[in-house]
Amino acid sequence: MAEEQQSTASKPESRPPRPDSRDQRPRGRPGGGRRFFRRKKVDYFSVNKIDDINYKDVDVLKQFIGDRGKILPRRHTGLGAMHQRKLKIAIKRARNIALLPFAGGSDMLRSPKVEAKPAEAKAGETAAVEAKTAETKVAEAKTAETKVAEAKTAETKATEAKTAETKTTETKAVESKAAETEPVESKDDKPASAEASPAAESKEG
Amino acid sequence: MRIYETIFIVKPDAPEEELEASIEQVTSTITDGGGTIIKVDKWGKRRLAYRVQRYLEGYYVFVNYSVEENAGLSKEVERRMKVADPIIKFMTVRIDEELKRLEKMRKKREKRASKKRSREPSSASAERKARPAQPTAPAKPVPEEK
Repeated sequence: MAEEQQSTASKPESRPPRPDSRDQRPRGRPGGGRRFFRRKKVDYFSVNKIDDINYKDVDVLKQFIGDRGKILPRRHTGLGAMHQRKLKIAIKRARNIALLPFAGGSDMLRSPKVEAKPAEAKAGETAAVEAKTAETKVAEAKTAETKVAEAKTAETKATEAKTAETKTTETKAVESKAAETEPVESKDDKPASAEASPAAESKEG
Repeated sequence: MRIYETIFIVKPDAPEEELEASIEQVTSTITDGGGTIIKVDKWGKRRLAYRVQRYLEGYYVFVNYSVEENAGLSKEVERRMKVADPIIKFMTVRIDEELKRLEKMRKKREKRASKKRSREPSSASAERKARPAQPTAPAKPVPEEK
């Protein structure tokens, strides 16, 4: 128990109760029993000694909602009953004042035009994308694009505009590179990358 | 005594004066009704999580106030906000009981910590330090006041 608490204390920022961090721990038991060893979930608020689950702490609350804005169940969050209850109230309040989305809200994504906000938080991601552009490998660029598309579903519309920008530059770079080396590739590469964006949008909608 | 927090969102395209006017309107309603303003905090423009009256951003203003006896004041403040044109959304939360609870919890923790410290001073102080600063984008309420 003590060991588990330490492991979460070392990285309190990450979403605490996710089974995908399984790989850090010994996998399963040798003979029968449970096939997969699930890391013991810990109560985020107990571990960090947070009494106040406040609706204004959007960054904290965000950890406990899913991609579609739904409140995660206790079996996911690993919270105690009291904390889950307070979390529920906090999330609902935050939703009321438009700090968090309502569940199933594709409302933002449907709206056609958005004033692109200077994405200060997304600077790291765009930098990563740009680094990829520098490499200008066709295959790599493609994977980067799909990654961006995936990230987009989680992001808001403003960052999408940003990524769309970087994407166009990326595809241009890819095109130019491909035109230099393999003219045949550039032909089928272009529609593929063009295809990626509508596919991503349909995913969001 | 009751303590309330009110957050309201002003249209992002409202001019500066209109924003100030709406803040002034809310605060004066509170003070005229016998309330005391504890804190007024402009969070600034934020993205809304969903569209509100066709707006995707809004100017958030946070007001913390206390009321001695005029129980209808928060209703009145809300009514005023409802009819105010530049305000697109608002929410009022009563927090005095929550603050009381937090105070209690804090004392409990302190007591426990001091007990622990007397037993084994080094580890207890380390644990207190380990408590992280809360990652808060918007301003936190001030629990010390009143």
